[in-house]
Amino acid sequence: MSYYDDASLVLIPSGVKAAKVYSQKPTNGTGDFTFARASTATRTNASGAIESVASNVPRLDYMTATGTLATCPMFEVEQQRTNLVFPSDVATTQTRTVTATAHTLTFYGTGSVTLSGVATGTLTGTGANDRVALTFTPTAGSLVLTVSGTVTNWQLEAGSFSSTLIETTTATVTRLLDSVSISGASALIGQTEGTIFLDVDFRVVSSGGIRVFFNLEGSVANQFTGIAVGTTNNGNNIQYAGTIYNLTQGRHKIVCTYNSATNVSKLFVDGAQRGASTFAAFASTIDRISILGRVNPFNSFQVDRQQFGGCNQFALWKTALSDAECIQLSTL
Amino acid sequence: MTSYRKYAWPSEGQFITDMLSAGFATMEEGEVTFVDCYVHQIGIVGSDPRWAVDIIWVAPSDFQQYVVWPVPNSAVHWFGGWEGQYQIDYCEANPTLCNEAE
Repeated sequence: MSYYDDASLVLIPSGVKAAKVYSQKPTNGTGDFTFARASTATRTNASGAIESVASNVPRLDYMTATGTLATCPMFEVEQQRTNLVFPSDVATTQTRTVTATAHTLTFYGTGSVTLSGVATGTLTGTGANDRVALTFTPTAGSLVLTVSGTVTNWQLEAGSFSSTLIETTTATVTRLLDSVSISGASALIGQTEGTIFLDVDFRVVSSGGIRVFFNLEGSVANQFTGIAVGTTNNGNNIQYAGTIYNLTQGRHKIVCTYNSATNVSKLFVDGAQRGASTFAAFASTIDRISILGRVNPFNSFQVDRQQFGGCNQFALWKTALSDAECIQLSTL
Repeated sequence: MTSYRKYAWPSEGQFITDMLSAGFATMEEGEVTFVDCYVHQIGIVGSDPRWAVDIIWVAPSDFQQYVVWPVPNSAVHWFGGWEGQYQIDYCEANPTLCNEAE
């Protein structure tokens, strides 16, 4: 079989514009995703330079989770984060108020930043183009960051790992979450059987609540009808019908099949089956898709529960692929 | 149309209660998700005991009684890319103070 020819939807990130991520298939536009991010953000371009990206424009990012430049771009999805230090371009010694939660400090350059006050430690740079990181948990109060030498594009954010640079000038700045979804796409989704494929650059979520890789969901009138695969409350474990598979930081290929004729759904990750579950037929038409986030079933159907990650490829088939095909498709 | 407002709530608890009650937030497995708006809780700023919150409204803005208008160049927090719009809104809402912001 040809995976491409048989797929009902194929998205390999290459073309974007404001509020839109284009799919390669179908070509009539019905498979193009709606994108939203109500703030500016940054991305790393093909040359490794950091660029500003306007509000509601998707980010085609070349920086992988492991800090290497990719040859092909992925579209970036992140949760909301705030850079607590300013200005971000060139670091200066300052005192910031922090809470007693994990924080991550990052910067480029050959200088150092020494922590004192409610936390201690020193982060030393390794080069103008290298981003170094230090994660620490302060007590609540005033954190003093003493800068020495050349420290550029620095960021202090609440969280146990770093996110993309949030540019600041005179105050703290929040980058809002990215959301990627389609509604009214029932013709592209197998309603009785199907296959979902995601090739993701996974940034690792730690104790951030349930975070979703992909979700097929019903209409507003038919909530809680659908299928979703995500990570658990406790970090980077992918959970599926009780079977847990630990995802490491980096690239993974995830395939999920469902079939109401056999009443089985299966999960494949990185070239092996990792779980199986009974699957009942959808109670109503499934018509909405979200990538690296969840269609919130409780409210106005905005997208939430975002992962931190990059989408290299996403595809749907309206048939349940065979186990051998899923193993081949999910092999890294 | 989206809008950006800065707020000072009487307390953090009152803020969460108000947002849940008005349907602008849901609580699921102990995690609050905001609905039809984007929220950054700044917290207590300086000696002001009130709970400072920045909100971008996708729905029509609400809670006008808690809106505050700090001078733009004294703001402690921005949503990325919204500084210019806040300046415009500040001048519309506070024409007599607008010179102070410039």
